[in-house]
Amino acid sequence: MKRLVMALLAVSLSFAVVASAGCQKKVDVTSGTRTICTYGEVISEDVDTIKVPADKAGGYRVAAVTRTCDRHRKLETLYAAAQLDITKNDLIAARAKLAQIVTSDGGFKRAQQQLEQIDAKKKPAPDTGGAQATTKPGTGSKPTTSAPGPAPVPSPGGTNPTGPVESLLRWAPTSLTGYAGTPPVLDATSMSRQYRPGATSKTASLVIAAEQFRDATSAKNALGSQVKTHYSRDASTVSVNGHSAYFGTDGRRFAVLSFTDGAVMVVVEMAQAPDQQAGLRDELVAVVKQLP
Amino acid sequence: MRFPSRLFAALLAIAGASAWFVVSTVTMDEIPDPAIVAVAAIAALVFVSAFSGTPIRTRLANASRPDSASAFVGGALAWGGAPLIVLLARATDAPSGSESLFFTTAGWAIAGVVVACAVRRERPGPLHIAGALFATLGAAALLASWERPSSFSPFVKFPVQEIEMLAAGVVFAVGSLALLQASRRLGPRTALWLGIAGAALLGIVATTTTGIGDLGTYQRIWPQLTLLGAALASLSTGWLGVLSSDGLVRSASLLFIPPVAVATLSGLERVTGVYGVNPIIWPAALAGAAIVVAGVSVLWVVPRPGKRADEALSERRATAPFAGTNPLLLKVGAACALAASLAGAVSLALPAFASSVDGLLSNGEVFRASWTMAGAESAAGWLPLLVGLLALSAAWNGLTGPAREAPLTPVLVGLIGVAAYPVLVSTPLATWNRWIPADVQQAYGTEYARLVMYPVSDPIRLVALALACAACLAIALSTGRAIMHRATTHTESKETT
Repeated sequence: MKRLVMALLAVSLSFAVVASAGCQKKVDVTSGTRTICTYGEVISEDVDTIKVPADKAGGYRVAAVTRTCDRHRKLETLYAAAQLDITKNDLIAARAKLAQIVTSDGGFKRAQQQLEQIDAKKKPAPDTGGAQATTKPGTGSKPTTSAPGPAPVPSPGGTNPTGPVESLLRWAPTSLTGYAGTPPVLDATSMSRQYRPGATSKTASLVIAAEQFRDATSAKNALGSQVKTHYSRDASTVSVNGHSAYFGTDGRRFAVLSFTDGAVMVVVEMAQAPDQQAGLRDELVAVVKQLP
Repeated sequence: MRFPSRLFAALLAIAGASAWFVVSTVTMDEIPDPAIVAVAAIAALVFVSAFSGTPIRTRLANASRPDSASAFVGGALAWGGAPLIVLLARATDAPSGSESLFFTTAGWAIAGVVVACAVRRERPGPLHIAGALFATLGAAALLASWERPSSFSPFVKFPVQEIEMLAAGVVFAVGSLALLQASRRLGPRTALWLGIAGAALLGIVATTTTGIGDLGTYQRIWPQLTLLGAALASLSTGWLGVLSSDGLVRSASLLFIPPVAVATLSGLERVTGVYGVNPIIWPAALAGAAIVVAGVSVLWVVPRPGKRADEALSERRATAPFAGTNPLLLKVGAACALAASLAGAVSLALPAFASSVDGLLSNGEVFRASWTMAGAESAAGWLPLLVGLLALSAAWNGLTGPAREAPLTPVLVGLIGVAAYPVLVSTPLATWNRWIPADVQQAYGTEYARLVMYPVSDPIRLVALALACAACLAIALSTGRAIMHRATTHTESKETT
């Protein structure tokens, strides 16, 4: 009986392993392409649900392709002609074109507004390049369709800076000599940007992170507890751009140059082949010289 | 210093283990990991010495070298090496707090039971193993209910680190056995002092390889480091006390409790409103806590095979063998328990959740998938099997033991498991998986990713649960009759006298 209980235990544990691995073998995933007009309408949807092995499921997704549909392309041409008419003071021709646009899409750019101004015997300001630049398709004017506008491209942590965190971006410019920046990763009070080293670069990777603290003391404390602790090897102090920066390595392959600027802590981190991290000091200084 | 009584020692060990987890979590990224172990062990040594009566020099002078070495190495492993392995494997948020707590408490408890299986003197019986598994399930259910969607998904995101934590549990158990052996010859106080000294030395030696970090940080976090020392002193004193009096299996069972203690702390925060909204799913968490306490009670109430309690019962029943027992009822209970265990094992592979996810990838593309999760991935999915095994082990004890009487506690514990089933039916034990893109899983609970898990009722699982319940009731009835008979006989004999 004791053996039976033990055997049952073994069998059930085996079942658990098989069950948790085996029952996920097939997954229903949605795959295909959704084509969306730049003005928000769904033009076409070629999406299917298919059964695939779980380990392959991550590769299936619904891709969104954005292009301007025929109707909106025609409206764009008509709108451009209407703006030209307004510039030429031919408000009758402009009105006819704007009325045609409004009939098709009442929310198209500033057509409705301009039409109302012409009807009120006022000359509207032409919506030329400047207007196009400020009213992005799909966001500046409302499409008439019930379909939602194309979704913004969100990601956890965010890559589109808004609010106070924008000010941290100055510590991680889009590009640095010898490096190309990737989109920044942003949080409420911190920012980081990874850089791709150029072909001739001596480094394997470069990351710049900046974090806002409550005050300068907190930033200095963070440098001590977060940076100096983890990069305690080969420690030295370097003066760059008026900042007293701390250089250190982790003894394996990473090196940092870190400093505080008021309540902001900036960490510039590079990686190199194992045991060559101490040689990254000059390269780090060269990068920090390009920062404010 | 008198060594603490059993109950006080158990409370010290639980409080110490809970406090160690909480305080080490807030300290770990401040100074190098080996320095944490070294400072905590030195502080613990100060605490233990301060409360020690006889001067340690006198005690050490009377200790033999092999025994001292055994205590020293055992302590270095249990209170230095094992915590250091965990600290090296952990970052503040990876693995998640719930997983780290699970693997460093319930995981260590299971490691202790496994190590005990390899030592003849400590070897547990089937009931102990079933009780330990039951408590493990309770801890998992409790921690998986800390939030929804839960970050509790063992062996999915950080399998290597989690295996390292389990390995640390084995190191802890092996070190504990060495300490136990030394403690029997040296006495617990001397063994305790030597053990903590071993941990301190290990921490100091390890610190020389990493450096001590920024000295200013030590000034800033000295209250946390002092608390850590107090936690280690409390854990080591309590642990060694229980280990000396009750062996490895029972002392290991105490490590199932810290998840309950830490969740209780969160509950207190909620009641007092100190840290705002608390995301714990309380009904499921309470059910998990009840299962933990019930499972631990099995390990404490049921004596180890061949222990005196069995002999005492045997003597008591020698004058009236099998009086009041109902072997048929016990056999019916055993048959139901066997059937429940088999059906429960099968149901681990059957569907427990219909899940779907709808999320945005970081490049704006949409990821949609739906799939089925097995019973093994659900807290309730394990209950029929574990209740069945508890009942089966209890029936086996009854049918083969000298008294022909099954212990009552395991079956009552099984009934608690049956009662917890409807509460835990919506508790998944694995929210993350390896195939959904990480950027989608990272966004669970936000507007960018929606995860839905509907519990699916499976007939075989329900039949298994019903059989397990029937088994518990039949065994409880059989034992209840025997107890009643004994009480009646005792009253009659008193009246006759």
